[in-house]
Amino acid sequence: MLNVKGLKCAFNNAGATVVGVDDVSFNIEKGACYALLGPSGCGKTTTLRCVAGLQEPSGGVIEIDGRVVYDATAGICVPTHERPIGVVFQSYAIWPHMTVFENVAYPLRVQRPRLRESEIRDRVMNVLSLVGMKDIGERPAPRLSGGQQQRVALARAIVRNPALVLLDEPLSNLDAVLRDHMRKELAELIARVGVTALFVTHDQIEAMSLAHRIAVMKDGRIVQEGAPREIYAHPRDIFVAQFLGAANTIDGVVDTALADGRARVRLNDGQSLTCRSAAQPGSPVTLVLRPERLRLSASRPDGSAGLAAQVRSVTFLGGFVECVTELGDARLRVIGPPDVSPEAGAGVWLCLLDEPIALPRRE
Amino acid sequence: MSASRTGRGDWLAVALPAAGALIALYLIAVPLGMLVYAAFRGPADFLPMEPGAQWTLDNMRAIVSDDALLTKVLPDTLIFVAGTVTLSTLMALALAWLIERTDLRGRTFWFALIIYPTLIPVVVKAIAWILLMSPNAGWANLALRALTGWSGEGPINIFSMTGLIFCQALSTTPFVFLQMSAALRSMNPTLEEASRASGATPLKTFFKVTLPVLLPGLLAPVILVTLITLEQFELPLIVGLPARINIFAFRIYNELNPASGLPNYGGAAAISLPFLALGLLALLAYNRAIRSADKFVTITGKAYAQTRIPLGRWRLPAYLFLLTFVAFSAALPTVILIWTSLFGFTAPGRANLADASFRAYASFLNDPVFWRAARNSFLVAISSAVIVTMVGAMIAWIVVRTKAPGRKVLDALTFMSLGIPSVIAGLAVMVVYLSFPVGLYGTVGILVIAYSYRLATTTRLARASIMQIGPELEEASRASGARWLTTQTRILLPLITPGLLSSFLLLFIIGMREFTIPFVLYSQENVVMSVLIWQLFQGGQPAHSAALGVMMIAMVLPIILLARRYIVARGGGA
Ligand SMILES: Nc1ncnc2c1ncn2[C@@H]1O[C@H](COP(=O)(O)OP(=O)(O)OP(=O)(O)O)[C@@H](O)[C@H]1O
Ligand SMILES: [Mg+2]
Repeated sequence: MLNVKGLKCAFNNAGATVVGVDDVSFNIEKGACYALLGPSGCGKTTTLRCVAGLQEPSGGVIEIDGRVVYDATAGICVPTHERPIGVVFQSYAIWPHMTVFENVAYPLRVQRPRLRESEIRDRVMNVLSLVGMKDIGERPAPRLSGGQQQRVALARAIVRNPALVLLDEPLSNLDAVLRDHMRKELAELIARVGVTALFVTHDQIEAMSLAHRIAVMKDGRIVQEGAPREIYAHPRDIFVAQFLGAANTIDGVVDTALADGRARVRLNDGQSLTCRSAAQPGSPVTLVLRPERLRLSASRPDGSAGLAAQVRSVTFLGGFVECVTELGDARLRVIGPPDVSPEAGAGVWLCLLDEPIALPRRE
Repeated sequence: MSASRTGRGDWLAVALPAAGALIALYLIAVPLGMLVYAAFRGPADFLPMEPGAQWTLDNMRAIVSDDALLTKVLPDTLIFVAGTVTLSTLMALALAWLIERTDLRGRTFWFALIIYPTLIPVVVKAIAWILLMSPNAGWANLALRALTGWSGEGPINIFSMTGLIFCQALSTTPFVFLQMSAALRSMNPTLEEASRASGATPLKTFFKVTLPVLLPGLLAPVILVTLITLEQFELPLIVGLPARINIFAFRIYNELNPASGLPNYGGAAAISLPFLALGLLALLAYNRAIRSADKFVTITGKAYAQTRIPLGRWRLPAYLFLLTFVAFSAALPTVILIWTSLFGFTAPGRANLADASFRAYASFLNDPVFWRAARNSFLVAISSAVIVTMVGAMIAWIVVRTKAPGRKVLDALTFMSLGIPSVIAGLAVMVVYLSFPVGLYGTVGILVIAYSYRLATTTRLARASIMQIGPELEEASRASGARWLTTQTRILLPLITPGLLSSFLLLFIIGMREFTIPFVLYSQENVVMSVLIWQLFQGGQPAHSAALGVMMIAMVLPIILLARRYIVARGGGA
């Protein structure tokens, strides 16, 4: 459906060349929802704008719905208005001089050959009711709340049944509570409309809850690509591991390699653990321990693996307790039920619910 | 805009802006180029391209060896400019401070009264001030003589450098005032509050915070008024000439209309070069000032609610100052004009109210010259305002939204138009259309072209409006399937309409007030009202001259009021 190959985009910033996107390739299946996830400045928006044709890339091939819309070597660059897309902008870009209805009707009105007025009306009312905005069609656009603007922007993006919908940080302009709500609604809507969507976000929760596949970007490149669970469980490096959710890291060295991609790792303070790792004995690694995969215990756990640590601080956070423990020179964060409340300075055991992943570390 | 491959049907995205750029070049670069060219062509009474004309440095030599230029024209010009700028800056700052930062009552009312005279053509005001302050029969002098028992002429003599500077400052103060009050209004009061919360006294706060933050914003209008004063022609002609004050604009005019002999095009062009340079220098300073003002982010256009300082026992002097200013700049001139249009030169004390006569007004009804002048004034003001608004908006768009090559040059060129004195613009256009006999010289058309060099007026306004509109509003339209022209007409244009209307209105007022260009390019066919007013006054018909002045105000005022209401209703505001 969307096929991006070797996309490159360089900017000229006051003489210096800034590479915004560097050799990015990915594929989106028809009807799938795909997320570009990464920190600020990693080139997500630039990638999206290249797909939309709002930014001319400096190399690569982009194909939407079987049609090549950009090919650097063949000299093809289809202008934005001829691409079968809909875009939801980060700021929503609702035109303030039109009513809600006219905003949504616009993509239909600029179509050639002209559509009949009755058809335009029907289709607009259809999408408006789809996004739950049927009753405020005649309202002037400036008098909308953030959530309403988001719905109007979405309605406008899908009204002409584009092959591909592009969304740039669609939820970042909403406050926290509304964002939670709209995220669920957006997921439902995308599923119901069955549209192919590419969206950009720096929020891993958003990416994981909305997308079928995620590409994690860094410095203009895709670092890892895959289904949300897959990436979460098997991050390729520390950057991906940390970007997908608060991860504790602790350094060690591989002692012995075990069968089926596992290894015995000795931590800096002398304790040992079995981890998932393909590294050779003697090579330095970093362990990734997810806080929610750790349990606090007063005694050495039998059965599962455990690490001895010292409690540094305990913070009561309502539904749970956050406990920071110290293990050698590493700090590990553990989430526990509110009734667990060890004393600061006390010794505790950390039980590992599953084998952590150990990623090779460059010294 | 991907400049190279914009796709089918979107050649307009390149063609239209390119056309705008070409028109801008034609309006500004061609006349200026011709002017520089003419300065180095001779003999002096030949047009630069006439057969027989050749390259020469004679014109340049002539200015260097011209004593009068150094000992009279330059000092007179500098004294006139320096005096006017100082006086209008002081008055404007005081007025702006009173209205924006004190608890003065009736602020909206005073504000309107202060800026109202900007609508009156300077010729009209000049005539009114002569009627008010001429040494023999000026109303003010009559009143002062009656009060003090002074005998002979005076005590006030408008026909002096002091008188000229006073009148010119009265006329330019409202412009400075407008900008200074905007600067004061956009000062973020939390800056001062933070200073006071840090333990600084109000006085310390003023010198340590308020003044340094506002300085760039106050400097810009001062430089702008220098530019405006430098190109003044009306008051130096009407008030200065009888006092033998000889500023450069006047000198250029004299080269073109010598008492005897042929017009000296080369000489006029050569003299205009150093003054053009002076204008551009001031423009450079202005550019720096607005840049550093931007850096302080005080001039954001956002108005804050200001903490107001109680006037206390200064209330009475403050009102007296306001009253005196408004009386001389707006109220008395209007009253005198109306009176003179009814009674001629007869002063109030000696007139019999029953003698009031509408003869002057009535005589215009059957006067073809009046109708021609009225038609020409509107025609030229409206068409040049339309041209400048359209071309200027296009250039603003190119500069803000595209990466087109040469856009910086285009930007600089249009900005330059702000620094070109109108007498020089008139001269340049004159030389162009005398050289190319396309039948424009002496017509209304040449006025439209000459007026239209003021592109900077629009580009600045249009730029501000375009920059307020996030580019994603246009991108959303393109992503909805709209081609370039559709996006421009359905999204951008409606959104910047208030800004464009303000620009149109401003240019219309400037066009109606314009005197220098139509005076320099005068022919019987292209006479406009402002020139006709002066001719009538010169010709000893004060009642007619005043009546025409009153009518001009009466024509412009309602248009402006209506249009402003419309703009405000559209959410814009000039
Ligand atoms: N028009 C431009 N001119 C110059 N450099 C640009 C331009 N647009 C983006 N860049 C640069 O390209 C890089 C990628 O920018 P991009 O906007 O794609 O980041 P992003 O991932 O969307 O970040 P954010 O989460 O902050 O929106 C950045 O280093 C940015 O500075
Ligand atoms: Mg972005």
